[in-house]
Amino acid sequence: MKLSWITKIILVLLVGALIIAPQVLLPDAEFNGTDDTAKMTVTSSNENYVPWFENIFDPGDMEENLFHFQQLLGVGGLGICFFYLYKKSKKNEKADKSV
Amino acid sequence: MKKAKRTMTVAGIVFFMVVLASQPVNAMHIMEGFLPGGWCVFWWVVSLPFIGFGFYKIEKIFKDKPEQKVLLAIAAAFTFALSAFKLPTPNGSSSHMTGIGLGAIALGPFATVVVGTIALLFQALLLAHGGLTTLGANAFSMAIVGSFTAYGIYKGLSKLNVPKALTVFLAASIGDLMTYVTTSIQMGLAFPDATVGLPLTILKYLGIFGIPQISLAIIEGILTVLVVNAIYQYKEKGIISNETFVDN
Repeated sequence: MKLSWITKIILVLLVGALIIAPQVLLPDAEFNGTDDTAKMTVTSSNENYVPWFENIFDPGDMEENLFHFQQLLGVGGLGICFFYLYKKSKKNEKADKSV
Repeated sequence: MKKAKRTMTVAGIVFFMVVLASQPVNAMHIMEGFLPGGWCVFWWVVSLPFIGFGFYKIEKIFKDKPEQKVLLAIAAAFTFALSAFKLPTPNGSSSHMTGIGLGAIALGPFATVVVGTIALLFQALLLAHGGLTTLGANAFSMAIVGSFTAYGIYKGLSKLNVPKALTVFLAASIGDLMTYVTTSIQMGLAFPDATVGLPLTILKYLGIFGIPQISLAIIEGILTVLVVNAIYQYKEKGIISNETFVDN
C-alpha cells in the first residue's frame, strides 16, 4: 500500500469537506450530545427512571479546555511516534551507507 | 535525591496526562447511572475476559516484540485524538469517532480492547462522559465489538483481492458504526418500550446513536487509511518488524 501525494491531498480535503459541510448546511444545529438525546428518550418512555449513580467527578467549566487538551495530546502523541520512526529510518539509512 | 525528583516529575506528567486525556463531549457512551444494575453487571461480566486476555496480549508485545510498542503508542494516541473531535450531526446533535480500527488492524483485537477501555475509563472518571457503572457496557460496544468487527473485516477482505486502502477504510468505518449499533441494542434491551416492542425500541436508539455516526464513520475510515499508509512505509523499510500488521 502506497498512496500517491495526490491521493493523500484529496483524502485530506475530503475529510475537511465532511467536517465543514454539516456546519455550513446546519448552522442552527445545537451542540447537544447524542447521549443527552438518549437521556430524554429514556425518561420519556420510562418516567420513573432515576439514574442510580452519579459521575464521581464533574469537570464543569473546564470541559471545553480539557477537550482541546485531549486533541492536543492525541495529535502530539502521533507526532512524537512518527518522529521516532522517521529518526530511526534515517539512522538505519546512515548505517547502511557506512557498511 | 535525583531519583526522587525524577519520580516526582514522572508522577506529575502522568497525573497531567490523565487529567488532559479524557474528554467532555456529550456523545456516544451510555451515561453514568443510566443502565439498570443487572445490565451493568451483565456487561461487566461479558467484557472482563476480553480485557484480561488483552492485558496478557499487551504483556506479550512488550516481552516478545518490543519493536511493536511504537504501534501501541500510535494506536492509543489515535484513539485519544479521534475521540476528542466532535462534530455536529444532521439531527442537531453532535458525536465523535472512536479510532479503534487502527489498533485492531495494527495490533490485533485483544490488545486494542485494553487501549479502548483505558480511554473510556479516563473519560468516565474525569469528564463525566460515560460512567463507571456503564463502563462494562461501553467497553463491550466500543472496545470489543468495534475492534473485532474491524479486525474481522480487515482479515476477510485481505484474503480477497480487495485493494489495501479500501480494506482499511471499510474495516475502520464499519467497526465505528457497529459500536453505535451495539450501544443502541444495549439501550433497547435495558429499556424496552412496551408500547412499540423491542425491535422498534432498538431502532429508536439507533436513530439517536447510529445514524448521526455515518459521516463520522467515513471520516474515521479516511483518517485510518492515511495513518496506516504512513506506518506501512516504515514497515517496508524494515523499521517496524514484518510480522506487525496482521496483514498478508
